[in-house]
Amino acid sequence: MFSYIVRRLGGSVVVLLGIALITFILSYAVPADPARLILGMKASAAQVAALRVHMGLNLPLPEQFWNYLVKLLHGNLGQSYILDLPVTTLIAQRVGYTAQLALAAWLMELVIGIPLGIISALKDRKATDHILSILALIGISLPLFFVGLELMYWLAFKAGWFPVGGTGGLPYIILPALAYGITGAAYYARLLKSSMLDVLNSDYIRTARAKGASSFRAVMGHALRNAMIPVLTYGATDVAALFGGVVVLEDVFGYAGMGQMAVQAINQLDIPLIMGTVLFAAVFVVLFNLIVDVLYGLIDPRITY
Amino acid sequence: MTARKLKLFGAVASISMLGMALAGCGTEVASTPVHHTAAQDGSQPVYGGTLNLDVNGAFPHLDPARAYDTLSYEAVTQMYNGLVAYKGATNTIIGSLASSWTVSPDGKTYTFHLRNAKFWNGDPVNADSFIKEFERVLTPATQSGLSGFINPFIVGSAAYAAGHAKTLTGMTSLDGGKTLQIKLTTADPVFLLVLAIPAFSAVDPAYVDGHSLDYFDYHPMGTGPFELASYKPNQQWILKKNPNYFIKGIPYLNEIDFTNNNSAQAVLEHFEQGSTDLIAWNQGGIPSADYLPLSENPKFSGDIYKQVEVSTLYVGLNSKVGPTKNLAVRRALEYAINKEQMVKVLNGRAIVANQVIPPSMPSGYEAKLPADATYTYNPGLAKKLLAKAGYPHGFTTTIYTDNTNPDDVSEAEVVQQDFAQIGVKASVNQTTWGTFLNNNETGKQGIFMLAWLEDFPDPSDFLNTLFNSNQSPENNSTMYSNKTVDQLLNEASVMPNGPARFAMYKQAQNIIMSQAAWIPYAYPLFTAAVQPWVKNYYANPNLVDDLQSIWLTKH
Repeated sequence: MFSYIVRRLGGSVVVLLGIALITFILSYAVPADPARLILGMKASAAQVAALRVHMGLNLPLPEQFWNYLVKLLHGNLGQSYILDLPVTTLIAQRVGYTAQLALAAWLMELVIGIPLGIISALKDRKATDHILSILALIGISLPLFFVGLELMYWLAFKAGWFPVGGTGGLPYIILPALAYGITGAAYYARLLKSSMLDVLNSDYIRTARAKGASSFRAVMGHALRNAMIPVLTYGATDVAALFGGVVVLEDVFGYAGMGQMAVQAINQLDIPLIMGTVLFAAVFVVLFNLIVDVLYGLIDPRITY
Repeated sequence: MTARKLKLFGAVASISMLGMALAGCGTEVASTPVHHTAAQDGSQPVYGGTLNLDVNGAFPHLDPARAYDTLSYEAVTQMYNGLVAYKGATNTIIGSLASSWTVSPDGKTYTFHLRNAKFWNGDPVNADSFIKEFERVLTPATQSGLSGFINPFIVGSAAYAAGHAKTLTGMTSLDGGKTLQIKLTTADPVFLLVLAIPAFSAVDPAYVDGHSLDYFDYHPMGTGPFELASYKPNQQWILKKNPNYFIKGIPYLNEIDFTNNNSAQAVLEHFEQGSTDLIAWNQGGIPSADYLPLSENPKFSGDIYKQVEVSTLYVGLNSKVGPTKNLAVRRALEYAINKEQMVKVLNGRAIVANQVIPPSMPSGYEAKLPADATYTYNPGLAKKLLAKAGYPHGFTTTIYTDNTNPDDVSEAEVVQQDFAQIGVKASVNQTTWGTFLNNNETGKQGIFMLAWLEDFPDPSDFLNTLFNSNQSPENNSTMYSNKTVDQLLNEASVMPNGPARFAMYKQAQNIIMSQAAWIPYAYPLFTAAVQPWVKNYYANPNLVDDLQSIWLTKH
């Protein structure tokens, strides 16, 4: 197991390097000039040229990338062009809010999706299952911004139960998380349903039932544990993506998380900030995938590394 | 200024004429600090209260040398003061930290007498407070986009900016710091207007030198009516009243709370609930998506404040690239655009434009243009002229625009349809602002859509920057070039203000319009939503909201 983890970590570093390289190339491929964006239209060409030199934008690209990597190894993600603060500071300011929203959104998906999946599996092909399937379909099909706007309008503005958008602790997180849960739960429900159906019809479950285990014990005790594996796989990528910041949610609710910052950085061609947020999100994806793979080893004794 | 960056806008045109008379020769001008005593409805000021505002994102910069967008201005103008300022909502220049000033007969030397004012930390304001800031703006490391306003107009500015001089020789401190003298390289009729730009505010040299550039960008130290009391990064900024403000009697408010919320829906709902007091420059005007819900709701339609911006929306026609390099083609296209339709698409948040200079500019706007500079909507005529120009079957082209504002997109579609009607098949190329700007500044875009906003209320800010051939290709991205126009613009830029100078700009504009360098189609309206308990709100057309003059009544 230990050597497996070490090998995976090594692989992760390669993946992250690749991501850094691709993002770097894409950022420079955009035909826009960060120096011009900082100084504005009125500045003279001479001024812009001087700033480009100051920012090191005229160095050959491989050299710029190398400088970036060297700084990265020292934990320095560079300085934002537009906001002129260290990228690490900017991320640190928002990561807490994004993390809270990410976890809450994921939990909502599970809280709605898992029971739906279980019930659908148990009532397979009966009326309940059909109704739940339709609800799930509606949930997935509704655009996230639409669900978000409606929730904010009815539960925050009209009913006054929640603040109308904004950033902060729990009261500000519930509605966006709920919106994400409604639109995302269906994936979990369907995954769980199909893997549970597989498991429920398998030999060892019939054996457990034959041995006298109640339906409930059979379901919860055995079937669910095994059926959770695909859910975990999907969940890892889902949470990791959430940590990058859900732009749509942040836009609808005016929530000052990483997604909002990333979009602004892209529009302003704030390259260090773009690189910083992308790498940050990538680290999470890689990390979570590693955690899930390790968890497999723990959940399923048949899997050994 | 372009639409994206800085909105310095449009005015209460009637009072504006006075403003131009002040840069006279050798005149002594004394002015008293302004404080407002009654609102337009006659109600008396009430002291106290907190103003709650949603801001459209975190303030990019609180350092006046680096603040060059309307959002930053919303905070910076409450915290810093300059030598001069605009009076209320007018274009008239009055003294701010300068109590009076004289100008030498040749127009090249300005001598300002400074008031006894203090920064929030108690340090006194003196000539060095200004010299320091001007030097900062010129220093490349500050990354200020505003140095072009003083470089090379102030003596020694070019040398200082290039690092060849240790001090800015054109600015001197006299009388132990109570007097500031500025020497210019040529007479400059707009110099006082430039001084009203927030970048040229007083800063505390000791404070600035004692902290890093980054620190100063988030921890201001000014003389202004409000101080930054606390802030939570990206979330909230709380400004509190400066009890020692040099203008007695204001501000009325105790506190201003800016909360970050860029969701148009949330901004609207906060206003409707009454939890915010104002949607104005804190959101860049009423967001597009919120305008109809407010204006069509009888409960809120009376809260809407409108002001014509000193800004023009236009279609640029390139004089050197594509079919538009033919004058006859450009003139044909002028008849193709249905400007009434463009204004409708903006839900009436604009008025039809017929020339480069907007009516809200104190001078330069012509009530009646000569016949060869006047165009009406006439697609039939456009088609005929296009045929005569050698394109009986029209031509294919691309309209370049940026996608920052949802309105930009709708307007581009109207132009596309109007062109299609006369046989010009245009595809719309929409990109983010950065990419659009990059391409636009090469001067190679045949047809593009853009807006121009003033930096200060003078026709040179439009005509010289956009049509002088020495401004190609960056600002003059239509690559317009006309020797007579250049001559007029160059001469007028050093003339003293007066009818002779403005006549030259009118002449220049007439030529530019007859040569169809642009199709100006609308002058936008700045709109704000003001709660009924907020009194004496106005926005200065050249800046942003003037929060020091607002008071709140019980609600």
